Amino acid sequence: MDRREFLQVALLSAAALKVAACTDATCDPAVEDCSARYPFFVAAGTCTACGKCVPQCGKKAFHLQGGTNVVTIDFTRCTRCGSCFLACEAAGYLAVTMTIAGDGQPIYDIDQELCQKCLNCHKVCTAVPDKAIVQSNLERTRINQVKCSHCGECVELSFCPFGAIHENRPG
Amino acid sequence: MRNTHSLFAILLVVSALGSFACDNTKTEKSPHIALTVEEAAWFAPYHPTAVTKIVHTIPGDLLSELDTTMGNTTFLALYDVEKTLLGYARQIGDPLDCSSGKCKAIRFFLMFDTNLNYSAIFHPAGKSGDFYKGVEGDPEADVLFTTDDLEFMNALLLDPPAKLLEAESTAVIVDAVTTATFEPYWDVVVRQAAYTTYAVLHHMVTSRVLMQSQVVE
Repeated sequence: MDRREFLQVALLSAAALKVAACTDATCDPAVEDCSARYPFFVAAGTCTACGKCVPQCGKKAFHLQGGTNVVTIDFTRCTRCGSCFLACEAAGYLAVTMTIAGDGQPIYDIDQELCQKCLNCHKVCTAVPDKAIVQSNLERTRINQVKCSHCGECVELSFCPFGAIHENRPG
Repeated sequence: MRNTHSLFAILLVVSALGSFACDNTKTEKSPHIALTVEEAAWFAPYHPTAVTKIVHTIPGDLLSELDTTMGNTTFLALYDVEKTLLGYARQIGDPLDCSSGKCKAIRFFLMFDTNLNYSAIFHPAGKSGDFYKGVEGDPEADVLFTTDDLEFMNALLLDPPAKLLEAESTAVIVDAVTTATFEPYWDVVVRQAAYTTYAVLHHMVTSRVLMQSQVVE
């Protein structure tokens, strides 16, 4: 092995070690410069932990600890204003259901089969001081950089319905 | 050789016929969509001759998060049978919450004339929600707007008071602790419904700006 070959191997090893060290690629662009760290990353602020990207990755590089986000209504806080119903309807998911209770007032609930975890209902919930829409798993999806082959399918094929997966392009 | 020439001539004729039949310009889809029976009934008091609409989608980057979340992403241009523009309508969804928790999220329509001047507000039958106002001295007892309240709000929207337009937020109109409206604003809001008046007025102003940016007639 001459000096040139040795240098090449050393540089490659250093790059491999750097990638191996970055096993979890969840990056919050508001907190740090994600472009400097990972070729692909899940933006923490946008990811809703819906889990839709997880089964789509051929390399099984996406993982979501604790299962997918479950969105439910805390009936002790719900004011029955119906904002969640309108927001879900506007998103086109129709996952918030409305039934009329014995007192003639509507009761809202979330159909877990239809819920897409867009969290629009959470955004518009008017209950105070705490919102009545509750999320049970706030862990974000992560990309295992050792398993990730940097194929780019997750971005090209839009694995994330909310656009939370980003590719860092040089320049 | 003669057979080859005949075959060539036949192919030319068939090709010409084919291109005539596939003239795409003649089958271009019209953007006009017929109003549903429900929509025709909603708009009839304002535009009785409206029969079609064109749905304009507002680009997402121009919309607030509330507009995006509540689906306030489009507006309608209304036309008569001659395809003459009659005016515009924008459906607004808003939580319009209140301290009592009795208020219901509402969907209502703002109507505009062909010059995008505000002309009317209405809450269509069958659409969710209602306009609520507070009851003086009882923060837990909100009640529905009366006809007079709706007429007053309509008058405010037709001629928006500068004082209300210039208010940066509801914080300068309503006391955060007692929820009472500050005296200088008594005559420019529906009494006991300052937040709702303020919100609806700003939906109207924003709608005009958004529609002006999209309409090229």
